[in-house]
Amino acid sequence: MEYFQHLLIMVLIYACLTVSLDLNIGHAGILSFGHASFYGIGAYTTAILTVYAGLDWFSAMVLAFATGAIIAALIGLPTLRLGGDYFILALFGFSLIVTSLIINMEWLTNGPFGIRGVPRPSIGPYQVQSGYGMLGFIAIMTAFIFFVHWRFASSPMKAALHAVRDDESVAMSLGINVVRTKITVFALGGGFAALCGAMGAFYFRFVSADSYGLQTIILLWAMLFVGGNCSLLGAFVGPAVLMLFPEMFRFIGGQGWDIGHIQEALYGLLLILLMMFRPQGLVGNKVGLRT
Amino acid sequence: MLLQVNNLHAGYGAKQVIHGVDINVREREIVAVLGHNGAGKSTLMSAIFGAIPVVSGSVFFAGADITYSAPSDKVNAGLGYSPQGGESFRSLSVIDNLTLGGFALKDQSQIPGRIKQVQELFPALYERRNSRAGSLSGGERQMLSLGALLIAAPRLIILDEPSGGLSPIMVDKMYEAIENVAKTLNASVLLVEQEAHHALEIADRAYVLGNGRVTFEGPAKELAESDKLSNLLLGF
Repeated sequence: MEYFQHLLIMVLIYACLTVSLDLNIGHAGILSFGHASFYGIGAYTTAILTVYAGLDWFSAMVLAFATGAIIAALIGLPTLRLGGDYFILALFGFSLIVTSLIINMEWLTNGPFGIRGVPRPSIGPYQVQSGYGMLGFIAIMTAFIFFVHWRFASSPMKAALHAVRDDESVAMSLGINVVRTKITVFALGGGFAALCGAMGAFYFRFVSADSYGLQTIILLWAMLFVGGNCSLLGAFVGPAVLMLFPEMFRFIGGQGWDIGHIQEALYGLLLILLMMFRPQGLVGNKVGLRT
Repeated sequence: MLLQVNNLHAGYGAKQVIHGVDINVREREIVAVLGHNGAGKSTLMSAIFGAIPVVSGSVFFAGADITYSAPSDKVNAGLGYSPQGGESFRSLSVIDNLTLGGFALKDQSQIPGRIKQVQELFPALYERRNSRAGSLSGGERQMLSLGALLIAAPRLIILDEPSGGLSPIMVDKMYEAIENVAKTLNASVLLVEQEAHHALEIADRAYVLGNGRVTFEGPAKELAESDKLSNLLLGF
């Protein structure tokens, strides 16, 4: 059972990351290559505040959100004015800097060894233990994050955001403050990614730099595009397929097979076929895609 | 005088495109700005609306200096601007596109009434209110983008190449619509065109730009009948 609990928790955390990445990529057309870094910033903020500063879990989580949002706003301020491809490269540079800082700022981050012993969340006298308690905690957080995104997707803000995504100059001519809209939504995306980092830190009780690099960025993008843009359901489907699909291969094949390689090849094939035959994602919205 | 542009200098970064332009638009007047490719027509319109920074000079609208005010303030003051190649938002529905036209309005309660008014002007925008703008024809999308501008009840509508990308029949319809809108709403129109014929037909006055300066200013009829028209438009 523990194995399934683990898989479910991972799917939920990645679903939260995907839905917050969708806020940037799907709704606002901000092709963020920094999402995994904000995820890492949230995880490290939580670990440092609870383990080193002895702060309670809830305050640490709120501060993780704020830190992610503020750093995203500061990074967005100069970079969101850049054109699409330049913005991608700038954010790629940002993510390299974040990884490098985490590894080298040993006095704060304990360098390549990471930080151990993040406490489990507790509500009153009840301390969340591993297993069902943790699954419940992550499920509640997921429900909260999806609720916020659902409220957003049914608010008038959405139309303004899609307008900015479709045509910035026309949006500006209607009096929409394009740069401010983009910075706000980028900061929110960064904040929610950091919140996911806090969730991950509470679950693993351990943070380390190599969980928040290039591989995670690519995985998150793949999850978003497999599930589909601008879709709450897609943000579940993408992570579920990409987390569970490789796991299925654990149960097939015989002894002596080099499962690892077959697994990765099939995984790659799945991505190629999907982009060829269903570019809008499994449950996504065709019009949400940028052409 | 509704719009008064005084000795305007503007451009992109170090490259100045507009070198001291004076133009003005009166109430209920249709004014055409013509000129050769690269004469600075679109740059002038962007600078008037403030989409690109003004280097020097001033823009007065209805008596107030709006040279450096925010786009949302300009929309509220009654200035509507449709940028070159600007269209409807394809992924949004017709009704969402129209609603966004009133995004900057301080009094949001006026939007539904204005949408109804625009849908009476353009019945197609009522029939297809729930369709995505991307599924409309090019002409319908242009009507929608003009309709969205009208939601803010502009006193001056700046149109940058309203005929861009349209078939000859649709260009005729578009110009009919512009004239009709100006009359019905008592609005002034400042329009930029590459192709002079239609613009001069509906305009009261015209300016010709050449290399970022005004090279002709006068009644549209005079320019249309002038034998210097083609020379002016070519920038000689």
